[in-house]
Amino acid sequence: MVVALNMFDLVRSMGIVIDVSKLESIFGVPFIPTEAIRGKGLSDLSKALIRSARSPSKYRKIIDYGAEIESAIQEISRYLNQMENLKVNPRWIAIKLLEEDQDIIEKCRKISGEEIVSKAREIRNELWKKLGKPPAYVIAEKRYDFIDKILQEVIIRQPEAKPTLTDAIDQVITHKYLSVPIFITLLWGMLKFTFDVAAPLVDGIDILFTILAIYVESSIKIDWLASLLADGIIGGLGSVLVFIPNIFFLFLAMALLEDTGYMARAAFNFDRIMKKIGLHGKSIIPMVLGMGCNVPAIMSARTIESEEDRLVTMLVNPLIPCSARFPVFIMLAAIFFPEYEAIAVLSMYFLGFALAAIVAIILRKLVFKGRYAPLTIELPPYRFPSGKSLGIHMWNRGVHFLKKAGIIIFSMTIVMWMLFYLPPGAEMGGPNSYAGMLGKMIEPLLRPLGFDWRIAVALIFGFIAKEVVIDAFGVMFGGRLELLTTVLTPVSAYALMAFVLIYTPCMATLATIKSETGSWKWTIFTLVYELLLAYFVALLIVVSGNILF
Amino acid sequence: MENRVRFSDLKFMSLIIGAIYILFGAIEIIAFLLGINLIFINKDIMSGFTLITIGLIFFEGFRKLDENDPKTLGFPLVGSILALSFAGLFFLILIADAIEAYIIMNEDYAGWTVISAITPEMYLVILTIPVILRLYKLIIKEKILQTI
Repeated sequence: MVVALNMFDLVRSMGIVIDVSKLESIFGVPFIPTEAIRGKGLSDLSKALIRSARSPSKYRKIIDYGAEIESAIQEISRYLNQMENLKVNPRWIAIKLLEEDQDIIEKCRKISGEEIVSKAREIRNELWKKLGKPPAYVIAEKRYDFIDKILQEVIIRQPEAKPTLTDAIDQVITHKYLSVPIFITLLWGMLKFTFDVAAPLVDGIDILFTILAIYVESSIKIDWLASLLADGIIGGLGSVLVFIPNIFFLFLAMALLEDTGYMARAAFNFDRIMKKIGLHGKSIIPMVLGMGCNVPAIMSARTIESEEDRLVTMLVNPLIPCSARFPVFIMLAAIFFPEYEAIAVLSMYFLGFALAAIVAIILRKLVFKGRYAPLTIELPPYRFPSGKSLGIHMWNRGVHFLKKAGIIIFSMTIVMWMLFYLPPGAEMGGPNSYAGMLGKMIEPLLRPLGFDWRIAVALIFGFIAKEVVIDAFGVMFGGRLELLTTVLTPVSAYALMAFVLIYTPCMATLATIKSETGSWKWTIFTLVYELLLAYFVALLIVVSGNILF
Repeated sequence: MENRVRFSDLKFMSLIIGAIYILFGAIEIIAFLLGINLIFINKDIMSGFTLITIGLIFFEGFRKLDENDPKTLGFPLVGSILALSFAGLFFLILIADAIEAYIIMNEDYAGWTVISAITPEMYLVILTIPVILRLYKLIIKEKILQTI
């Protein structure tokens, strides 16, 4: 075992002097000062690790928890020693059982059944009576006493306490009233950076793929092959790669906020509000990022440690209206509610956030009952991030998106191509294409909402990406979008806006849910619940709208 | 008492900068709501909100710097950092727009000019320079706060 004393530069800059050799003699293991962000001390660390691997240090008891607790530890350890294939130090497990560590209790239950767990419970309860307070409290007190003793021995010089720059910045960042506007401002800045600054790269990639598709289409004489290559493969690949600048820029901005120490404060500031709707403090980041794009928003949920909290956050995220849905709202609002366009669009944002909150509460009540993870978060000192660290964060996350989501999106795009372009000779997305046939097939289901087969086809197109709904209408109505008034009433148009907001997440979002949850169950669950919810909300709008108007 | 004297100039600067940022933020929001086009002013509600937020941080600094506590330097400091960050961001957006207009020749940017891309975030940041210089002197030279 080797201990890395990381961020040692901070210790030096605070004027603190630590006797490292004294630390080594107390713990009996090497302590290596490092500055990971600058790569300092890493070679000493690797050498120490090699030495330690060759001649591992022997286990020794460091903390004495007092006679009563020590006796309880020994008693539990005796039972643990009877367990076969126990690879972990029994003293450590015994202490964890006395502390009621749920993870360890579950693991012990799985390995050796209920016996050891109930025996440990008996010993713990007995000890509680003797100590007059929970053993976990006494163990924690002993640990802190030990830490205080060690600090007195190893800290040679401690300068007079002075407020730090971090204290000063925290006065503002965790301010009762300013913390929320600052958060909103920073996230808006992050979205501006992600979309506006990355825009030339996005357009550049889009142009490149369009030129490539035109070239391939005009060079290959066999129609179906040209269409497969140009519209299916190149189009599919383009639809993935066009996201890349946005993804990389977003991750760069997020890494910047994380590495400076801001993100930890954001979670801390929002924890109380988010808990009320069944989410975690850290869920605020994906919720707001979702307004830009649900793909990186869902990926940003990785910072949430508890699996349940992470799952709830990811499952409700597609309800947050992303920027791809915005043009659909604008288009329908401009045609059907020209005088109340802004209100109609804004109402979709309110609806999205309200539904996300309601679904989160329901999931918490029905699926993830009582499993709130408390927010335990370290508020690190603010630091100026290094370019290398930002680059590594951005690259690792971006490449992960390319590998996982990209493969799924790419293969699904080809399936979509087959639906819209086949059988041979059928008009693209027309009534005789497979997609058109599918539209006709599901039309009876959508009839109660006032949608015909063309709306159904557009909604199928919207599965690739929500903004494609407009393109689909454009193709079907020959570019004259105002003709939508011939197939929709204002009430059914508003229901369509709500349907587009809620129904199945786009392919990229679904692929990301699959890659992030690693589960088809949750991916299908999201797909199904959103479809049902969209149908229910749209039907509610149509029924109540028809009664009122 | 010594700190009160030393912070009085920062207090005054915070008041002026806070008022100007809030004023420009309010103008941007009004321009957005009424659909008015003004030169060198963004017609953007969120940009207006950002300017008001920066202004409020400076304003709160004006109020708190009276407390004679070095930690209150955080207000002009964070206000200046945000002002600088958003100036940098809008400068990057200007470059990106220029690439769209002149290199990619995106038709959405037809008629785009550099003047149309200049926003209050880019020129108001100049006001924070005296604050930054004063904070540099207090924090780095006089070490009134531990720099960690």
